Amino acid sequence: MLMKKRLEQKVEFGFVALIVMLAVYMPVSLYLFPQGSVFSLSLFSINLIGQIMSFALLALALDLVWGMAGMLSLGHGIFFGIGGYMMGMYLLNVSFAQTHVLPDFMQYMGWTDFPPLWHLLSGFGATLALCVLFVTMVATLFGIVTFKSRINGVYFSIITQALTYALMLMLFINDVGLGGNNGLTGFTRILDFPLSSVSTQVGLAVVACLVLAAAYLLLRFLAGSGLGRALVAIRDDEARMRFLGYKTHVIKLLAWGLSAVLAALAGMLYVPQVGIVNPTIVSPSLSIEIAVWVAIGGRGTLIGAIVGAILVNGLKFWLTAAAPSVWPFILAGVTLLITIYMGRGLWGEAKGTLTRMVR
Amino acid sequence: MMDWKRLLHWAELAGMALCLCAMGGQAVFAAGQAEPLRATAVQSFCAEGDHPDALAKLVGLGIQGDPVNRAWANTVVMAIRDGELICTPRGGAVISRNGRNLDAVTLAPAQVTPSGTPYVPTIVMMRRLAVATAEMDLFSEHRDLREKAAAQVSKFFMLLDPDILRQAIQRQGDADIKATLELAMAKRGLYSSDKREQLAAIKALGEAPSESSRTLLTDYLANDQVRAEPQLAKAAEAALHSIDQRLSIGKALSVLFSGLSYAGILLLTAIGLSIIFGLMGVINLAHGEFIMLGAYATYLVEHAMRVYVPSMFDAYIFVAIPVAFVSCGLFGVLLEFLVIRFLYRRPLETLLATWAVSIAIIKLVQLVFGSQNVEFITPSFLNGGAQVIGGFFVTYNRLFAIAFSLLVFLATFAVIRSTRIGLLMRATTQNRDMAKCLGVPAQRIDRLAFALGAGLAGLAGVVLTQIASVNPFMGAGFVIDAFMVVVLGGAGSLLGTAVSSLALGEINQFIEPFYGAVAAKVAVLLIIVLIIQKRPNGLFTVKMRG
Amino acid sequence: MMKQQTAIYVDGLHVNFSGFAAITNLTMEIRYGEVRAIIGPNGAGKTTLLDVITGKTRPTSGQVFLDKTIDLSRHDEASISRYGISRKFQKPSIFDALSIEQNLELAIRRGRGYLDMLRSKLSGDQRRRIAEVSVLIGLAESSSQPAGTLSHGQKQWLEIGMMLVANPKVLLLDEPVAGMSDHETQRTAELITRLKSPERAVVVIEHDMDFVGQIADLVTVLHEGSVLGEGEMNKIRNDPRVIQVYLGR
Repeated sequence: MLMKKRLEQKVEFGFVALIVMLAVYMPVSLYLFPQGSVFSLSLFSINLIGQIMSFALLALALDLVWGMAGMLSLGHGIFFGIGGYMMGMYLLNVSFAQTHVLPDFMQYMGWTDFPPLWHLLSGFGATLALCVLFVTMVATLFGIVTFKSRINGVYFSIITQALTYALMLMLFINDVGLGGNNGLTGFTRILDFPLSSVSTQVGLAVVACLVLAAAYLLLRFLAGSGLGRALVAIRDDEARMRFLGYKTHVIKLLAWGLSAVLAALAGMLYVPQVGIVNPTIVSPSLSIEIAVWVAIGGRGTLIGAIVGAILVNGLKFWLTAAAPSVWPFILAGVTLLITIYMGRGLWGEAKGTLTRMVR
Repeated sequence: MMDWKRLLHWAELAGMALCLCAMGGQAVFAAGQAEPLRATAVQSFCAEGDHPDALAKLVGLGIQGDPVNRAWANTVVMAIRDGELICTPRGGAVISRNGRNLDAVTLAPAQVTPSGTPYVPTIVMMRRLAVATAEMDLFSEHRDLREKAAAQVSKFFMLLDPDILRQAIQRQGDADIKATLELAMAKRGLYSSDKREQLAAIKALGEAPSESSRTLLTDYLANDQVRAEPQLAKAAEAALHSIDQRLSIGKALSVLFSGLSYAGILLLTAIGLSIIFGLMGVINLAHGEFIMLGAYATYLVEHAMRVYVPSMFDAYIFVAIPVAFVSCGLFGVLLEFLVIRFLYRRPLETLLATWAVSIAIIKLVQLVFGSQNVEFITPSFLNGGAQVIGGFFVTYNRLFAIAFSLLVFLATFAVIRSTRIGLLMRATTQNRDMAKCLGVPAQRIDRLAFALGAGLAGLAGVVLTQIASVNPFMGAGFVIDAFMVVVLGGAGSLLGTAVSSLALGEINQFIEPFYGAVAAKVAVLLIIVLIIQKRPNGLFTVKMRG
Repeated sequence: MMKQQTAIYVDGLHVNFSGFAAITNLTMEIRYGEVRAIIGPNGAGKTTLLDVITGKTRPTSGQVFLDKTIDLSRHDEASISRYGISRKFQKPSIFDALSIEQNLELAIRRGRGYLDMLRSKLSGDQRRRIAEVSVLIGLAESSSQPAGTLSHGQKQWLEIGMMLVANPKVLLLDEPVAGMSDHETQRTAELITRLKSPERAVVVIEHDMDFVGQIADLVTVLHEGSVLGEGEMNKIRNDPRVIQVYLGR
């Protein structure tokens, strides 16, 4: 039993080490090895890795509320999108300071300057702080209404889908001032670094890895603590926890808020690497996909969420370039297989087999 | 010796010849009667030239009941318009067309070659000619000609001869065209110099409330001259007020009607979902795709009938109903057999699995049919609509949607409530384990219910082809709305689905015109969350306590 | 027996579920120091009564008090639990995914101290208590085993242990020996008898009459939502009404 625990810990820390190593390897491979060599990663691949790491963070955020606390949110795209859009607004601010050219959509709207609200997001620190604050507010508001009303299970999931759908519709409206269905694009700078430069792109990917690793450690710590156990207990029998004296809606709210912040951070990491943010980021489909990544990887295991996100998105990027018509069928097939036959997900099953082997 | 057969033969021939002569004589006689009238008409035109009443006699002939005269008058007027009429010095006229000369009165080739130059109409005359053509077309047998003429007449109301207009109104069979003409008459009255005529026109407009009459009166009141005359101003304001009252009723009815049609669509899309969710607790995210498949099935039927049975084309929608129901039902059985039955009592996994199926179906349809909207030709009996009262226009396709939804709901209700299968379904919903103990084959009931739910979704797709755009991605929007209906109404409760469809449909239509689609959706969500707090299982619960 | 303080006081309780009257005009008093058994046929309202006391169900009318001053109908389940009322369910509802020790840990905190929860910190007293109770319920050796691997009887005891660990003032046991072997039932009876204390009221719902006879000081019989009879086991056993309605011959 103790050996199993030690093995588990080794695997978990090993996983973090892998991510950190990747973070180190990316700049090393780019600068040390010549392009084209077997050991080097192209800038394109590095950028891709960075995007996938952001998705992995998003998946981690969902695993916190779903895998650990049992709340299947199909609307995490909302928080991802808030982070993404706020980062986009900051990027436009900072790019404008350099180019002095208004973004296209603002010109179409007939604006001569950024609206006053945008000026709040002209500094990175302010953007980060405001984003965290805003996302926490939104999440708390939603949480208070839903958790106190004891809305659970499938109804909860459907409502989160409906909310993300409504947000998407709202973002499509040009008058809302966020670029309509074209969204925000044309970023040139972040902090003081030009986005087009190689070092910035590598830096972003590295940061994404490190943030992912840090988030993983945080959640690992949480999972191993009494609070984490309380979350798991709430997942398995919320009514019983209430009878034991736990204000379950408060605990759920805490987890929900943390998850929302992580998802927003993921959004903030994603947008500068992909260069655009538009309403599809809050499409109902994407929010369901997040759950699919977590399910395929193995919910409740944290590592599984990351594995699932990497696997699915890696496959997706490869296949949508190589054979775009085939991808939806493959995703559908994999999802069906995993949900029907491998309920614990890929990593969950792997863990189970490893444990049996150790005994 | 007399040859009787031969005599008879000759007698027959003689008889036929006599008849022919008589008929010919009659025609000549008739023509002879018409001829002097036509000659006078032509003469008066050639004599008066640019005089405003020059066309009067021609038009007079043109509006008579006799189609032959009408055709003649039309020909002459068009000839004048095209600059082909040459007046002869003796008061007759010749139509010179493509090198041929026809006598204007008889339309037979002319004996004499005209010496003068053709009459070239002035701009003012052109307008009068257009009006004259329109006036004559008002009496045509062809409805579209009359419709076009009525529109023309409305534009040039000041140039109209009121008597002709009155005759046209009297003899007009079609209600819509009559209304247009009466409006034109009223317009003419408003802008006449005679005060009494103006008052009469105001009164007439007040009694025919519509957006157009309202605009007329508003413009009329904007005129300073009118405002200076207290009697006219008061009458106009009173008429406007009465129009507004009637219009607001019309507008309210309009909102209710569109709410009803939206509710009907919601009901159709949600009823299948409610049965499946209530019975098996299965969240079927592919439900939207069943709707979409039903729409595409309708497309295939429409296309097939257009190509192979064009005479029965209008009936395609009725053929599509069973086709969509059965094909979508079969898809439902397939889905249940291949996927759903392995995920029993795992609602969250079912959600993900059905989502996977939905993306595959969407891609498949996209590959086969393409991503663009699919074009439908509306069956003729669903085209257009009718104005019930001012401001309230009922479109037939929406009426059909409402009627169809109601029918389907009642049929489903009857099946669930009165048939044995329905009883088994209800029992399995309310207490699955107990039902199984009693020997109910729960798995088979599941399959049947799934087929029913999918089939109903297909029916929704059929109706949607007449109202919404059909493309591979259409399902997504409907599925979320449908789930909202089910969440609010209570899963498994047919009555709940009906009530909540009605409520959500009307709420949406009340909010959307003012605050937009987003606000409407958010408002609906808030209402649902509020109600769910008090009744966590929806308005009408089916499952009993314990 | 000296009259003890009132623990639970039910006054004129009515509970209606959309037309179905689960409890009708129920009045009863449970004192500290006693072990009260509530018996009656199925549907008599026994579980509903517990639901009302623990805050799961709101009374349609009537009142329920803890210590004569705390109106239980105004509080939610968590608060009522923190006041010191613990409930054990018919079906063992322990957390399979957690170990025995972790289950007890959850129970002892009573939902208080989020920071302590985060730091997984337990006070010395709490640790001692958990150790004590582990011994009491006979699961001390296997305390890091996942609770899901326990037998049915062991799960029941774990649940009782979870209740004890929080040192409740009022213990509500809903069919604690259901599904237990004779041996396990005997052990449970001993356990419950040991639980008697002047600061504690124990309420047991059960159908096993021998078990009831062993542990109960007083027996209340419920029938169709009201009290049919109340008194010591012997008296109740021989009450003709009770026999007719429930016990049979």
